[in-house]
Amino acid sequence: MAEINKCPDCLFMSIKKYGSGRARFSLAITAHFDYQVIDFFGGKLIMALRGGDLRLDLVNCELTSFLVYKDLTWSVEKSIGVTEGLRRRQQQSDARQLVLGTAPALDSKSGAEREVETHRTQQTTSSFTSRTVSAIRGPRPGWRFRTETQEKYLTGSFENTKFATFHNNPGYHKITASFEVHQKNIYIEIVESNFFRFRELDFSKKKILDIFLYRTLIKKQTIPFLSKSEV
Amino acid sequence: MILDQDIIDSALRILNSNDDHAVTLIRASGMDPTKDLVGTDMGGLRFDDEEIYGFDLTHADLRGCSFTNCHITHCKFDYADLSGSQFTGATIKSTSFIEAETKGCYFDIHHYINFSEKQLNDFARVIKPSDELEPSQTYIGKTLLTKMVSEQTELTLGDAKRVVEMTFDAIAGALKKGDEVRIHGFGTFSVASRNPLVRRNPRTGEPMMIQGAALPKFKAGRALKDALNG
Repeated sequence: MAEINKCPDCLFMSIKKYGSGRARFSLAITAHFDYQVIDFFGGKLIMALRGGDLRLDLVNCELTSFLVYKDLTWSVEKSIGVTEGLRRRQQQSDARQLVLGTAPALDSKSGAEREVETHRTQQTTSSFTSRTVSAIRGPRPGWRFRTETQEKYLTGSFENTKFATFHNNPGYHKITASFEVHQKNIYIEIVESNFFRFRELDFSKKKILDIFLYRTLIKKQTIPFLSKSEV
Repeated sequence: MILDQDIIDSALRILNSNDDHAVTLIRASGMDPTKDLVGTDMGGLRFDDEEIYGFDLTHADLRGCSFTNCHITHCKFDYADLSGSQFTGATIKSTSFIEAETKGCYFDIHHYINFSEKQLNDFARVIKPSDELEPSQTYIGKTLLTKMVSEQTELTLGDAKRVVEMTFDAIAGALKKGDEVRIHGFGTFSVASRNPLVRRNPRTGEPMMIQGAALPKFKAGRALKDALNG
């Protein structure tokens, strides 16, 4: 099994296969959403997801049932605010930050480390909510995630949630799940800066600056996918 | 590789721009609109009276944007979300809208845009220019006339509407005073008076008095007649 999570604080995703018979199996997905801290000219900005598309590439197997539109049970860590969250994260590890202008040194925690953190998150979970995801059909089926209206970005997680069942043909088969995003799916907020007074920005300048920052600082990490997992 | 100083300079150009029009800011940032705007969030931005050429806005979130009187050429809006956006008075050439979401859009339909049936049904309002009239549609209303004036004169729709309305008001006002309105080559508006009449009700046979009235008339000029007859 291979997993690539380019911005694991932002999205950590893994998929698992469950099957009793040889010909049929289910696909379960685990995902954890939160924000990622990026160093920005001596200040900091946070990047998080407002949505994205989870796409499946199937080799030698066929979808037999598909989660079309369903409430997902979603655990959400108690909101502690970005500033407090930043303080905690800095205490945990300084290595979990992007450094501007260098090679993309994104957080690369191992799966085991991540499991510990996921467990810790579950322990501090204070509420459960439900969200809907909408299905995408076509040659690369999948699901579209979006924030609820009041949310700035996606936070929280769901664990081993069954999304689809498959029929596999004899021989080798493979499922690749890719979480794909565009700039419109990325939330950017400058939380510390010595250079810019972003809070005074008008609407148009903020929009164009977000696109510019995405293109210069973040795009390479999100193209062609943000997270990928294979079974 | 982009140097840090280049990033700071570009960001400062956006922040310090005196003009907050979207196109100006995009240019100030140094981004290439033919490729850097794919899948971006540009919802709510205004492109009014701008000229956008070659912009690739595929998959972009353009909800609530205003493209009023915008000149759009060789652009791509494929798979973009245009919900609630305004294209009134825009001129659109060689531009594609494949599977774009058009719910609640205000749009002028031009013959070079191949909208799907679903897209057309989703439009909040569609204005068809006169050369696009279907055979069954045999009249031009004030709205369409306004749009035609706007297109010919480069006046905004609001200004064109005022011009059209003032022209009608001036003609009506002159006729009300009993004056003739002669427009050389087009025709003459005048008022004829009809005397009171006595007629019989065809069902009962009883006599009825019909009041006298002022009747507006229009007599076409020679140039107009010639134009209609080739």
